[in-house]
Amino acid sequence: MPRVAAGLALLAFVGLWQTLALALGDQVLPTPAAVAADFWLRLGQPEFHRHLLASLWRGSAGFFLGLVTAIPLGWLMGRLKTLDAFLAPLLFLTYPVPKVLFLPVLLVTLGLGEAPKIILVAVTVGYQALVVTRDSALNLDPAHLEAFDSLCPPRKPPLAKALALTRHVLWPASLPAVLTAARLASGTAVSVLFMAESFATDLGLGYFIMDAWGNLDLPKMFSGILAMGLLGGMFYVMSVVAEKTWCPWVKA
Amino acid sequence: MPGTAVRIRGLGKKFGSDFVLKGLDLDLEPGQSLAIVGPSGCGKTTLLRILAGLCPADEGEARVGPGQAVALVSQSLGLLPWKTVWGNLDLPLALADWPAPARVARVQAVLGDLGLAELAGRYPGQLSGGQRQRLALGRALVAQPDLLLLDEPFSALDALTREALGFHLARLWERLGLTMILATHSVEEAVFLGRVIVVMGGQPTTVRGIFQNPGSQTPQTLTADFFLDLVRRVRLALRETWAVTPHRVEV
Ligand SMILES: Nc1ncnc2c1ncn2[C@@H]1O[C@H](COP(=O)(O)OP(=O)(O)O)[C@@H](O)[C@H]1O
Ligand SMILES: [Mg+2]
Repeated sequence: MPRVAAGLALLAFVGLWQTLALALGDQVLPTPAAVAADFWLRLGQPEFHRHLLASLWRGSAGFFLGLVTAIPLGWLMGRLKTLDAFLAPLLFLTYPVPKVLFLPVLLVTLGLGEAPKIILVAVTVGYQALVVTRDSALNLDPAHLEAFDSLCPPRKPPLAKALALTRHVLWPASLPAVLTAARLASGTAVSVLFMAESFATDLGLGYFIMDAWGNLDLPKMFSGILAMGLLGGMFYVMSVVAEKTWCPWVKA
Repeated sequence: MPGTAVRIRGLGKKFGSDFVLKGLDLDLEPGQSLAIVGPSGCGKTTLLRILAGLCPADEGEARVGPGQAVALVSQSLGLLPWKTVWGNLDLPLALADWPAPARVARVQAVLGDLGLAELAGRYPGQLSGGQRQRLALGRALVAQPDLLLLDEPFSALDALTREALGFHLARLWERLGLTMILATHSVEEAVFLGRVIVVMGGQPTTVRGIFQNPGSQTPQTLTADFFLDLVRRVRLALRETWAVTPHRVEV
């Protein structure tokens, strides 16, 4: 039933697109078939692959970097009161700021290479992940902490104990929320990537789209948009699959 | 203190400025089973937490015999929802750095002892109340403690499951030869599972009466005259206590 509904929704979307395209003319909006044909063609072109791979690399690296930095920092903030007292005000003051505003700063400080683009995606994903990881670490069930404390041999060294707590309690307790944050951040991550790629570079889907727009090559532009959409969709689906496979107890 | 599993002298504990426990004295020999019965809010959980090393005493001492490993089954069980039955049982062994083959063998043995073998791959959220209780008991026993502390272990269960688990626990205790302290507000449970029954109460809480149970722990026990007589005497002692215990409400 959900599959049928999804199929109908897709059909309705394509139908609406087709109607609009016919009404507006292909100088404004190409038909779904025209875009599909163009996209199919480009899938075989090395030129397109270069742009696609560049965006895929920046997006994945940014996602990874963001999560790998934010998760441990969130645990530390949630567990260490003094650290949190310093960092939490900073976090919540800067949280509402659209992360894309960091782009000019990153371009000035890090130059025009790969680093500012990857870091912008990392910051976008990282903020979301940081907030929820800190929350999970702050709101651990006291019964779980007490169980851990009473099961831990009294003579276990403090560092080994902290690592065990992270592995057996902190990590699984925050994982579902982190993956949900990653899922919600996937759309924003791709949109900041688009921004970062739309100037001062000649590589990536952002450039590809803006270049096609400049040349009024609408089917090409829409192929780029479709590819970027699929990139965001891929991050979304990966977060969903990761939650299903790594957090089987959530649905249990 | 050879020959003593637990030694409590002049124990006092306060929250804020009010003493919850005060002037508590108690001794327990190894292999003994002690049941603490008292009204809700009298400090049973607090006493067990002090013995488990989860919170400090404010006065006196509560000492567990040297080298004695302690395990606590808390009222809320504290099962980790993200670990399977197997994973929960394995946790104490992982924390104690047991070698992997020994861990597997030990978890398998405990699964068998507690009748959980079929459920090894389930998560706590997929278990019944009685199964969760057995899992918590198994997790406390897996690292082979010398002293087992049980906080109202059966209070969330229906009467039949409760009785079945009571027999199960009595047999385990006899077979393993460990020292056991069980807190409960059920007089029958206390008299059935404790060879020594301590009635607690008052303001602040102290020991109000100590009873010995000479009897065996079989299904027949529950209807035997000596058992019913002891239940009656403990209940009377508890009622006297009730009169001097303010009716605290548990949070
Ligand atoms: N952490 C705490 N802070 C303040 N009061 C507490 C705390 N823990 C227990 N108490 C109080 O101590 C008393 C004894 O509690 P508890 O040991 O849980 O009793 P019991 O297990 O016998 O029902 C209660 O009045 C309870 O409200
Ligand atoms: Mg209690």
